[in-house]
Amino acid sequence: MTTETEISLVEGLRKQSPKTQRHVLERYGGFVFSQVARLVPGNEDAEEVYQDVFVKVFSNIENFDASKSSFQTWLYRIAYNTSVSFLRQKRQPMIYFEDNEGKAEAISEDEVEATFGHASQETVMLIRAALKHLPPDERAIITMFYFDDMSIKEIAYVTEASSTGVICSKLQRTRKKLCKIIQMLRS
Amino acid sequence: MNEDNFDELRLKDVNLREAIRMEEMERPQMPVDLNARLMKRVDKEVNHRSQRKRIIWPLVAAACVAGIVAIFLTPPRTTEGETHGIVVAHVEAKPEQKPVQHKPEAQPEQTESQQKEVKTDARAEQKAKQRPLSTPRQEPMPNMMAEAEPSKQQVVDATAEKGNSLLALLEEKADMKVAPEEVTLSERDIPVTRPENLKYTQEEIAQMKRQSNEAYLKWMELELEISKFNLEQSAQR
Repeated sequence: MTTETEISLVEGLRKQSPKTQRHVLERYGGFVFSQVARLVPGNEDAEEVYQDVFVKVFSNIENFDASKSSFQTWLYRIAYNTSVSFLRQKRQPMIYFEDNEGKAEAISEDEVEATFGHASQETVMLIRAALKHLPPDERAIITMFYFDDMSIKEIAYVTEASSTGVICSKLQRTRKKLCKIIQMLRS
Repeated sequence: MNEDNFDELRLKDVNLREAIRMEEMERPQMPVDLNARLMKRVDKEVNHRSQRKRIIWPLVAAACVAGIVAIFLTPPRTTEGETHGIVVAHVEAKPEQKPVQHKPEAQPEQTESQQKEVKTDARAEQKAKQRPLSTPRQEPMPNMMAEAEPSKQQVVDATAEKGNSLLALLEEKADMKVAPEEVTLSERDIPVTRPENLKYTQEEIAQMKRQSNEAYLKWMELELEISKFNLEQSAQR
């Protein structure tokens, strides 16, 4: 799970070596920043959270368990949790699509596959517009799955979900929700 | 849906993948100097921690040294002398209790006599106060009053005198009783506390002398052997 370079990096971080810290920032900084920016709107806030994430990583490196996850996944987990707790603290008013009536759940799997499966520039544009109506946590999960190519297990670890089934059902629900938003945008 | 089905979906959902990729590409890039700022912050925090350590460590070390010094310098609580003192105190306290017990017996008598005195004085005063008021009325019978009043006063004086004499007698008796018992026991009077107070029989003393002589002889023999051994060693060299 953890590569040799990751092991050496972790050892360097445990020794509080500034050189290793710089190396970690160069290697994982971009990924962490994009992860933070997905959840935290506003560049300044994202920068603040990014700094908090790495301060936590450097000070809590002793808690990293290589048998549980890779170093990168552990970093993502800290980034996700720090961003979520920042959003909770800030309590910014955000408007998202909520499927209170359960209309999205009524959409069939074939319908969803037809929407996302057939390559179309128009649908891509609609999906991009629909993504903005998703709450940050759902957007983060779907991005981790489709963009970062993370496994369900890894996503469950990052989001501290009780089981992989929770992530599976969340992904399914989010897909249907997106489909519903697209339908609404089309109409 | 299983995890494997989701892996298939990852490949199937082309539109969704493309849309998310485009979104991520358009996301603002990380500022170039962000890592440098972060490293400055980390350095500051490290310095702050080390400063804290520098401040705390000497204090902790000084506290430890002070604790150790205090432990070694404080004398032990239970020593032989103190235990003797405790025993002696207990032994000496017993005879002193007797005079203390006598005093409370004498005190009630004193108080009773004092009370009597006080009562008689009070009565005499009251009567003395009443006298000037009553005398003008009793003027026609001065002989009767003169006979009556001196008799009462005499009774009061007599009782007071009796009380005083009784008190004096009791005090003398108490002193007589206490005086021989006031002798306090010293440490030497207790045979158990000091080993030199133990009495040995003639046989025991003789045996002790014999043992000491034997021990001295053995020691001399040992000394001789050692000197012989040393001589042999030096001769061999």
